[in-house]
Amino acid sequence: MKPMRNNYIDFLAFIIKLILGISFIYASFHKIEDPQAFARILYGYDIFPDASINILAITVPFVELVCGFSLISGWFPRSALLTINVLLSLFIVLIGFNLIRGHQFDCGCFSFDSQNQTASNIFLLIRDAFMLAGGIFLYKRTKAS
Amino acid sequence: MTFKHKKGIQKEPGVIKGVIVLVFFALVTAFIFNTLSPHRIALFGQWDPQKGVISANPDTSGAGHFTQIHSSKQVADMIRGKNCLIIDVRARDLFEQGHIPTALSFPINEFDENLPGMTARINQHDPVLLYCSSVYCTDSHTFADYLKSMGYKDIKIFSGGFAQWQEEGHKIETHEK
Repeated sequence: MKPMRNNYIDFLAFIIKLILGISFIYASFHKIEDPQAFARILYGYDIFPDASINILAITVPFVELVCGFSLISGWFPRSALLTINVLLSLFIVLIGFNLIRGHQFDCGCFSFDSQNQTASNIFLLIRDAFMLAGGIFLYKRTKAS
Repeated sequence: MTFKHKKGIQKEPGVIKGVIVLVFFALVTAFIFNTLSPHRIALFGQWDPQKGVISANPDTSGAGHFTQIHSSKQVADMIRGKNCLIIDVRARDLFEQGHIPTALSFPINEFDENLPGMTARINQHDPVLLYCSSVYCTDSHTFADYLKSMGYKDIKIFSGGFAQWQEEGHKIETHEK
């Protein structure tokens, strides 16, 4: 019989899995719906080479969508978590880099209506850091298939 | 045994294989979806402000169909020469806050309402120069598409728009014409 503490941790892992999976699926929808707007957001980061902007705008939302579904459905869950953690790490680096150099931008994470404010970008950084911590926790707990 | 304790990615080829499967599946789906979607974008956009208005879809935004003027000095010369009608397609409140001298306000969001007044004021053979907010704005191109479909012949676009005009220190009018 499993100790009670393990049940709580299992439940916590389940909730984190749902939050991460649903967040990635939800975050992909508006980008898939309006790739032109997402491409403009990517341009606004002022980091990506011009030739890569449209390719990223087309592909990144689908990587998010597939990983979100994969995590929730249990199809290659560790692979989905690894990809999600890599994506979150990249988001943190991109947002952090722009914050450090004082470049105003819209992250375009969950909508295209975000205000270009440093405070909200710091919030994004903290939110992504929490999601990454959750992703690492899940990765360590998820058994290799 | 030490093997049991080594849980690095290098000991889990299945994880990497899974990442390749997921990413490959996502990429194939993405490109197929983009090809079939009514909101599809080109594989390469126009992201160089020096070449005009930026757009993910230069072919359908009209960015490649009209003569774009990138120099505010050239616009100033056109105003001095009185050889072009300048049209501001931004919202009316923005126009009232400040606009390029001699510009007429025909906001793109009031296009249908202003159509009779515009056709009465602008002849199809008049040279017109359109502008909107900045190089990040495609409203002037959309407006140019409307004019072209109505038979207007000589349409140019000031790609840098009001932002470039203001940044380069030109005179601004703040009252409505």
